[in-house]
Amino acid sequence: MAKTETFFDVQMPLYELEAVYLACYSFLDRAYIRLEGDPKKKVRVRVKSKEGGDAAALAGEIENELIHQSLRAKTASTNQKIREHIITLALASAQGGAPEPADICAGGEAPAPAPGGKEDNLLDEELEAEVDRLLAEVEKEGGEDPLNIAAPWEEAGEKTTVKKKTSRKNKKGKKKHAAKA
Amino acid sequence: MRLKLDARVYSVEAVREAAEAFQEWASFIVSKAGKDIRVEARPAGGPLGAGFEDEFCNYVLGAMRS
Repeated sequence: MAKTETFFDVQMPLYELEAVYLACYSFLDRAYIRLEGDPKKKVRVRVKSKEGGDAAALAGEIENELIHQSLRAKTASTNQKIREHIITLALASAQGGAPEPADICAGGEAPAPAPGGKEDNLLDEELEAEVDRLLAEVEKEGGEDPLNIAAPWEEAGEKTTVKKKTSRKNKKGKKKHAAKA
Repeated sequence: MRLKLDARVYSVEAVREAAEAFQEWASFIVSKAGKDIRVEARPAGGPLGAGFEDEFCNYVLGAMRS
């Protein structure tokens, strides 16, 4: 008969405690989970299956989820700068005008010195250039904005209603006819 | 019910949050002693169910995420 209780140890320098929490959290509906130990060395995860399921199988699944969450956290921290940059650009462009590098820092504070020094700055510049290039590409492709999506709500007003659109099309048609004539 | 949770992986705030959520079934005394967070639960009405302790621990773990 399968055991309903088991445990496994997580070597902490390999995983972050946050990843352990997240992995365990996704199994709270299937198991009773208890943690103990030193987050700097080793954390023991005790698993007790609900409804008499196989605890060893559940523990295996949790360990897999732990790897998944760990990778996810690593990817998130790697992409943090580019995500922040994209959001800043998006917010700044929504307010009108491209942001100056000084505007990116909240409250006009001077940017914090990069821990990696020159290499980090170079990477930042490369990322910024890449984001700018992508945004320019998007603008070039969809710059026409036929649905008037880019216009603020107040300005767009009733222009976005179907009636107005059809009337605009009719006007264009009339203009074409007039030009031909 | 008496329960010990490892203070190195659980926070007192999360335990208090769980105690607040479970106060319908029991009254709680939460204290910290060294590496342990001690929880003492006294049933409010009838006896506490068999899975009460496990459910409480799961709730604390869930509260750690927030």
